[in-house]
Amino acid sequence: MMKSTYYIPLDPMVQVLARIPALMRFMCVCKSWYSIIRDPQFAELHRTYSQTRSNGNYLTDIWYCYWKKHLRIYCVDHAEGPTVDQQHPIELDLGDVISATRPLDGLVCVYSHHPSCRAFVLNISTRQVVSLPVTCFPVYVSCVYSLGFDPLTNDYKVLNIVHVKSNDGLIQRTGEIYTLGTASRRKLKNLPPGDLTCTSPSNESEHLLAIGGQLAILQICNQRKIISIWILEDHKNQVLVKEKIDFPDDLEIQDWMPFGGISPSGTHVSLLKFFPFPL
Amino acid sequence: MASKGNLTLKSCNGKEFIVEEKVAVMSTTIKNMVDVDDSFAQGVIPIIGVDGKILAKLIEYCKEHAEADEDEEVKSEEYLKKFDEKFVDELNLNDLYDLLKASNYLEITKLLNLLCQKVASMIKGKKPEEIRRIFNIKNDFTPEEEEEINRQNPWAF
Repeated sequence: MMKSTYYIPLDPMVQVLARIPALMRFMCVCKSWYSIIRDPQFAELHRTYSQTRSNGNYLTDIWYCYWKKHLRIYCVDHAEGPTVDQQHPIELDLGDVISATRPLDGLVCVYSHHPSCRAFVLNISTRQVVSLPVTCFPVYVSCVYSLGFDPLTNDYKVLNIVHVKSNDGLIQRTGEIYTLGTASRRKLKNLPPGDLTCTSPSNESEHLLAIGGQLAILQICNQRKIISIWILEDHKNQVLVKEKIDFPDDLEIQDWMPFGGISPSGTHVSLLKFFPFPL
Repeated sequence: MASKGNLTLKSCNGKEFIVEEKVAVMSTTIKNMVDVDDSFAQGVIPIIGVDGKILAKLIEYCKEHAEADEDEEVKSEEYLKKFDEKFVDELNLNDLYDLLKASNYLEITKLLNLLCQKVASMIKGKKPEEIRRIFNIKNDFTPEEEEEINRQNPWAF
């Protein structure tokens, strides 16, 4: 005899839904599906599956149309090839010169280099947008954002390295850090000086990473082929300690960290696996 | 009474199955029961909420996979893949659901994965109304609520 209604107890349904890409459109199926999909713990499970799925979605590029003021996200689906949502770009006022960070756990930070414009963090799969507070540096020459995860406090952080022109005309590096979730912002007291020169910001970049359970800042100087990693040893006093790393001489830095774009490699783990070094 | 190395599983409608221990412990739940309490290993293990038909199906699956785990040469990966495909294809929706529930309760991870993939493939790419029809799910949102959810997620379509 056929049953009149099918019923999957909560746990297996969670297991089923966690394996489905492009899930948001199923929120309106019924109330129980809605509450499953909105649950943060479920989101974590879903993310785990989408990373291991052979036909998972991989973000490849973000395009911003500045006269229409909207963003389009390009993905590659392993089964179906490149896909783009043509109908529903994200509407954002980002100004004209925009960049995006490396994606981290399905999040990406998009920002304008223009001081009057804001920065946003996007959740690629849910299309949620979080607007970051206005930068505390009202006038600056350039800024570079990067996304990181702090395993110690379980928070996503956004690092904004800003080049400001001082009164005597010199360009100085300074920075601020945002914490997602609490939406707080603070200036960085001790920005590691590193080997960056400030003379050609376009050839230098700084990124936030989580390495071995600690937050770290990765500095790349393309011109001088130098990469430095600074580990945040002391959270409270913002003490950063430089890790010595010997990279191979023939390393082409540009190969793995395209400037101002998005590496398709995904998280910091895949970034670092090219360079086995003891930490 | 099962002989040594065998376990007796009893379905909720009283059907008893004698299975080899290596087959039964593909279920983490049963493995934990046997590990914790020795009396289960000698006596009858009741499988609550799972009827004889579904239990037979579960055992069929576990037997095939337990044997393959033991001897890769007899049952190759390719063979198991074909077995898995045939296994899920032959299920009707009712059995699929009951097996899903049972493999979740009994923590048979491999089977749970297989069944979840099957249900997921039935959901993927379909419209919400098609899903409600296939799975006989009642839409418990008011039209206003539904519109509000869709408005929040214009990307969803």
